Amino acid sequence: MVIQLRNVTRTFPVRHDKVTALAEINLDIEAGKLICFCGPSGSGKTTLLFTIGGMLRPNSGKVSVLNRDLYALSKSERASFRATQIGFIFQDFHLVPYLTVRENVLLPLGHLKTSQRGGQQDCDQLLERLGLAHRIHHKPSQLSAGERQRTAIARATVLKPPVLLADEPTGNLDEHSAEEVYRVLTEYREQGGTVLVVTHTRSAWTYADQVIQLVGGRVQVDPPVDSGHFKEG
Amino acid sequence: MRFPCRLILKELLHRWVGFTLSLVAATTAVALCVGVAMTQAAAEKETRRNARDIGSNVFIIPASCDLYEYHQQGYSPYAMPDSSIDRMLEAGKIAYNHLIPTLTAEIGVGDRQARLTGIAMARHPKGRPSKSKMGIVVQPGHLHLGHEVAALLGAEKGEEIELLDRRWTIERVAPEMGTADDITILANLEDAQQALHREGEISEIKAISCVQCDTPEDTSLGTLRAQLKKILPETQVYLMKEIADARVRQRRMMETYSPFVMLILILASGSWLGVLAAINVRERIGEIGLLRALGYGGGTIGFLILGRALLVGLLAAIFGFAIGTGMTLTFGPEMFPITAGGIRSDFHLLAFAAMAAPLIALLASFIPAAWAIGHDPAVTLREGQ
Repeated sequence: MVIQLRNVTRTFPVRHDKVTALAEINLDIEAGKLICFCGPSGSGKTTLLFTIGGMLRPNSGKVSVLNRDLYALSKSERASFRATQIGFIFQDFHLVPYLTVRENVLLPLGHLKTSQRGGQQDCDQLLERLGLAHRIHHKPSQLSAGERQRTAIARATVLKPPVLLADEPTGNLDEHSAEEVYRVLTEYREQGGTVLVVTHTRSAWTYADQVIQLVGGRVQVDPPVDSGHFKEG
Repeated sequence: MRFPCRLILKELLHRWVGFTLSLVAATTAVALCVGVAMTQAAAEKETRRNARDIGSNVFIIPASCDLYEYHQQGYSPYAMPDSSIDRMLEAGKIAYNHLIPTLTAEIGVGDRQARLTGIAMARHPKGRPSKSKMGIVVQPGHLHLGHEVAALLGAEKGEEIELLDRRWTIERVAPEMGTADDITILANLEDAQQALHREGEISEIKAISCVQCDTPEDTSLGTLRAQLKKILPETQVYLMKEIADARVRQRRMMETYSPFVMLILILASGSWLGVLAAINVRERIGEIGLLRALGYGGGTIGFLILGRALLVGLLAAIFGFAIGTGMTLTFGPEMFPITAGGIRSDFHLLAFAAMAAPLIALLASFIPAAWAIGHDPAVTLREGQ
C-alpha cells in the first residue's frame, strides 16, 4: 500500500465547540491508482487530502505514505519528504504571479540541493507534452485557466513524485479544459503514479479506479453513482 | 541562496507599489535624520552664538567693592590693575570665556551726568581660542553714544564733539534701549583710561560662564570662584543668574531636540514599514502556503520576507543619505546663516545609516515574518483560495 490511514481523526475548534472534519478514517490506497474523493461541502475532503499530504496533523491516528509515518517525522523531514514524494494541484492553481511558466514549474527545485535536482532537464519536455512550450516565458496572468492548471500540473509532476494530490483541479475550468486535465492525470497514473483527486464533478468518476465518498468526516467507499447519499455541494 | 534572492527581486518588481511606499518611507526617515545630524553641529554653534549674544553673565570686580555699591551705582567705583586680565588669560582653560575689561566712571555732559565706559575687545583664555568676535569694538578717538546722551548733545553719527578736553568722532548712536545704556558713552579702553587719568586701571571684567562646566556636584559659579581665588585673590566674581539660566536652557533644548526628533522619525517610519510588511505578507499568504507545500522551510520563508526588508533598508540608507545631504547643503545655510560654513557632508552618517536602516526595517518586518513562518500552510492555502 502506498498510502495507509489508521483511525485518523481531525477536529477544528469553532468558538466554544469543535467540528469533526475526519472521524476515525481508515483507508488503504494501492500504488498506481486514481482515486476520486467526493462528498458534500464540509465533508472533510480537502482536510483528508492535506492530512495525507503531510500539511495537516491529525488529532489522532496514523498516516503512512510510502511506508513513512508522516507525522512521526520532524517538520523539516516532513517538508523534505513532501518536496520530492508528494505533488500538489490546487483548484486555484496557486501559481506565483511574478514567475514565468517555466519558473513556476521549476519552483519545486529551487530549495533542493543540486544532487536532488534531477528533473530540471525534463521541464521543457514536460511543458511541451502539456502543450505549453510556446508559453514558457509568459506570466500566469497571460494564460488561460486551462493553461494555468496545466502549468500547475507540470509543477506538481516535475520531480515525478510517486503521489499526486489534486484538490478540485477542474473546479475553475470549462469542460474541454477539465477533460484535458483528467487526461494528464490518467497518463500519470499509467506511468505508475498514485493520484488522489478531490472533486465535485461526477464526470471525473469515469477516470477513477475507485470513488470514495466522505459524509460527515466518514468514508464510504464506491458509493452507487445514482445514490441519494451524494449531493452536489 | 541565489534562487531565494531572485524570488525577492522578482517579487519586488511585481509588487512595486508596496515596495516603493516602503522605500519612500524609509528613505524619508533616513534623509531627515541625516539632515538633523548634519545641522546639529551647526545648530549647536548657532545656539552658542545666540547664547553668547544674550550678553556677558559674569562680572569680576575688585574685592574691595561692596555689592550694594555696585548695584546702586551700576558699576564698580573701585579699580584693579588691567594686568589682572593678563593673569586670567595666562591661567589656561578656565570656566569662563570672552573676557572684556572695562573702566567706568561718571562724567558731566552738559548739565547732566553720564556714564563713560572704556571697553576693549573680548579676549580668550589660553587653550580656548575663539574665531568669533564678541563685544563692542570702539576705534581709538571715537565714541558710541547712548540714545539719551546723543539727544542731550544733539549729536549724530559722524560728528565731532569735545568731551573731557578731547575731540572725539561719533562712530555710532545707539537706539533707545530702555536701560542704563541710554546714558552710557562707550570709548576705546585706552582712550578712556587717558581721558580719566586712570592709566593702567580697569574697574570690571565681564565674561561669559562656561555652560559645559556645570556638573551635578557644582555649578559653574562654584568653579569660577574656586578658580578665581587662585588666579586673582584680590577680586570677586558674580553670576547674573537669569542670563546664565537662559543660556543653559537654550543649550539643553538643543541637546535634547535632535535625539528627540530622530527618535520620532525612527518610530514613525518603523511603524509604517511594519504595516507595509504585514500587508505584503497578507497579500502573499497563498504563495507562502504554496512554498511550504512544496517543501520550502520556515527559514526560506523568513528569508524571503526579511531579505526584502533588508534590501529596502540598504537602498533607503543610500538614497536617504544622498537626498538628506543634498537638501541640507542646499537649504541649511538659509536656516543657519551665521554658522553655514559648519554644515558639511559626513560619510560617517552613511555608514551609520547603512547599519541602522536595514536593522530597523528588519525589526519592523519581524512580526509579519514570524507570523508567516508559524502559520499553518494548509490554512494559508485555504485562505489564499
